[in-house]
Amino acid sequence: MKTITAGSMPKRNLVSHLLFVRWLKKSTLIEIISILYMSMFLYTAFSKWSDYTLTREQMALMPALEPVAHIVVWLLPATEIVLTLLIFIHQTRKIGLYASTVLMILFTIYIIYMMLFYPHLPCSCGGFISELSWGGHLVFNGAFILLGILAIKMLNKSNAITQ
Amino acid sequence: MRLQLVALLIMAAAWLGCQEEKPQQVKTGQEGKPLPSFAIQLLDSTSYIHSDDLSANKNLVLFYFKPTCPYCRAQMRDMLNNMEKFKDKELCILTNEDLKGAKDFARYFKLNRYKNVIVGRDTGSVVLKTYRVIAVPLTAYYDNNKQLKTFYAGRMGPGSFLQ
Repeated sequence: MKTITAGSMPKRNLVSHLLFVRWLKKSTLIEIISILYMSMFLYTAFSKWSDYTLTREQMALMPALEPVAHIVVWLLPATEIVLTLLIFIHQTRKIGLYASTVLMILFTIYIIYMMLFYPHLPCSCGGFISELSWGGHLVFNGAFILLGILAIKMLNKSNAITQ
Repeated sequence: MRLQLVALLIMAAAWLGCQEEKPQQVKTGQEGKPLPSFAIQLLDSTSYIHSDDLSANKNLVLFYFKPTCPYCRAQMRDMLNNMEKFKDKELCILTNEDLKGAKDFARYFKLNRYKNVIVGRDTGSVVLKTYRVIAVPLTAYYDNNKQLKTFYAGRMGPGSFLQ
């Protein structure tokens, strides 16, 4: 039986092998970031729904949200679930990551607004995330935005390689 | 494998999100003793009633809140959704915060619709000092002689309200 060693491997095969390994690492990283996003959205969505009354009242304390808190309390977790599904399905992952990153950017703008004008008010993120200070939220969201951008970039590159 | 992982994530998120906080029944050492004597400033800012003048021969529930506390607001919402449990009781809703906050709270929950509800300010924080508590919400149940029966610190859920 003929065995092939790296030294005897044709150059073209070696390049494609290395590209595949690189692609595999990127895909693993994309997978990890996707799981992080999905876990966060699922956790916060379920936390909000599990204590509907508390979330509604937290939202009602937010400027401009008082009259629509009873709608947002359903709409926001539903959006988070939809984004989770978009990320989960391979064909829609890219759009899911784009939408999630945009949502995180919007949340961050809101956090900055709250920090500037209403620092005493609590947030309504749900679960342990609600325990974070506004500064803590900023770091948390910033990290997720960076991860989102990284995943999108890697996804674009890996798509280009496979094409 | 991926499906199993996501199913696991959903179950973990649901489990983490659905854990209910239990209110803590506190022994204040004041059980069996009468309601402290203090003046309650009503929301028109000029009228006062005395705690001794609260309806006689009726069980009294004292609910102490802070207008911007989401847990207080959530408990208030739950209490209003379970008003049948309080229909034979006098409900005295108090804060030691500013009058505007108390007024906004009463307006938001439309408390003027209920005949057995009194909303006002404990301007001297007498209740907090008497029971040596600093955190809200707190809920105290008194019998028809206005003697303290039970005292709860923290948010009470609908299942914890006493008949």
